[in-house]
Amino acid sequence: MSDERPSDDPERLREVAKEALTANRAALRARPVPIDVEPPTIFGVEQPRRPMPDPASRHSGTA
Amino acid sequence: MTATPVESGKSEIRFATIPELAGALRRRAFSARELATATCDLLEAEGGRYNAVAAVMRKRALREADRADRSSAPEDSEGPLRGIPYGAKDLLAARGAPTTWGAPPYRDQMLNDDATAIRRLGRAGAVLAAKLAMVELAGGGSYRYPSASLQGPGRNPWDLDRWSGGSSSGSAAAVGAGLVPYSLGSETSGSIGTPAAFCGVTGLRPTYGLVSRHGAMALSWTLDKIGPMAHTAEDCGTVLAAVAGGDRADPSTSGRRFRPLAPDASADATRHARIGYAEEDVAEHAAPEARNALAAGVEEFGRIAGTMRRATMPEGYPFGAMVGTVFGAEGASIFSELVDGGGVDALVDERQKAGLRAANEILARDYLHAMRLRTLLQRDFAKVFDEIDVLLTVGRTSTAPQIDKPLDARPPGAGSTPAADGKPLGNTPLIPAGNLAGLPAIFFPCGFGTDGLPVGLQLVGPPFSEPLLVALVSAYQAVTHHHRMRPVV
Repeated sequence: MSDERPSDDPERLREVAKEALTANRAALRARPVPIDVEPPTIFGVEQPRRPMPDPASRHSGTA
Repeated sequence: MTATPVESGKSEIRFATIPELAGALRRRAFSARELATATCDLLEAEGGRYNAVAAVMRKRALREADRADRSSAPEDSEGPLRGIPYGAKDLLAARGAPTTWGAPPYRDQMLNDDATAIRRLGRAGAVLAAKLAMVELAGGGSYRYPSASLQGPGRNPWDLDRWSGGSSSGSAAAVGAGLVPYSLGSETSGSIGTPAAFCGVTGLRPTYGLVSRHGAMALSWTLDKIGPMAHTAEDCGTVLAAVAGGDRADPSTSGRRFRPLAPDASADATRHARIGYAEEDVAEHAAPEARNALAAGVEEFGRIAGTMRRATMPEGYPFGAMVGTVFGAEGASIFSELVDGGGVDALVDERQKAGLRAANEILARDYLHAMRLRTLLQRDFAKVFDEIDVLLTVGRTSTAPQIDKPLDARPPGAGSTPAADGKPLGNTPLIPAGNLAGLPAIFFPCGFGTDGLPVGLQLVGPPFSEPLLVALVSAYQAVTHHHRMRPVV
């Protein structure tokens, strides 16, 4: 078995979980994305990509 | 302790396939009520042996069985599932039993609704006999031990000292042990494929958006899929046909349906299929106990497929970081009340608790970066599928691990961590990569490792290629017997 496995100490496991986040962050940032690439819609692979809003219902103040 | 594989005979009801059971019901060899009663008896008597059952639903099963027995509709109007019992992962809501999500904080949760998949199976005449055990919260915080479940560690029907896999532990173990002929599981990243491979059953992960998740616990809105596990690919297709389709209650559904290919079309598709494969998947990454059986399975598969050629999935993506960041961030939002309110402390697995807490610190920037990489990954997969029809690789590189060992303790050679040792990745990261791209996959047994435990392969195709995946594995299963092997019970 690997000697590097974490112990079951809750404090140590919290550190391990945070280390995993840091490692993920570094791995993601090492793989750049072109500026014109958007996230995929969460609404399935075949849904309309940009449903047109109803101009009458357009309002400001939302994210 | 390892069970000796025995080939399941066609007369054996316990390990019968859906068509075999449907035939027996049509011949009135027994009634749906008798079958439901026998199934519930078996689940009650043996479910605990595998920690596979969250709740036996005898009352509901008998009610649905009686309805099937009374039905005067022609067989083909209700389909092949009429009167046939099944179990559903306990992440799906079903009237008549708690929906525990495998987690102590939800042990008494009553959701007075049926998940859409369960409702659709009910409409097809199927009989819900049990809620099946799972890893708590489908493993959303990243768990360390197989014991991370309200129902205890999922025990493998082939060896009770080995893990059944997760997070759809009970769904695979119950089918593998012959407690139910099929089940519903779910996959965010590997939760159908891993237990199917470890338990020697066939599992199908549908394209994202093919099956409604309404009534299912959400771990990741953009990754979760509901899919069947059964003895054969044909049975997985039968169940998928019943549960697939649009659902207003789940805006992620595509509206597409699934129909298996007709026999002629299936034979033609199999003959002409272009299979992509990377030799290093087995040669470099398989654990010693699994290598020969996996290699033999690949060779067998090559005999039924049209052409096999070298092809590899898109490279250069941090798949683990992507999938961990996506379900971590989405899970942090989904389980925010549990974490912020302290209920998280009641979970079983310490690593799971730590992971859920830590996920609160994932930055929006990193989540969106991972999501944008998914866009690129989908495009790159589309290019791969211009050249081939499906990718073939191992289901898992090793057999099921010991049930009492931490999952981060890997014995030497037990499936390498590819990036760490500099070996070419081949197609070994297809589980996270396929999930990130929303692609369908089918997992199927191909033999046994030297330790007597099942090993299996997987096929991954482009979105909505399930008819081809089912046709290919059905063709493989028509000329092999691995899927008919079952443990001594």
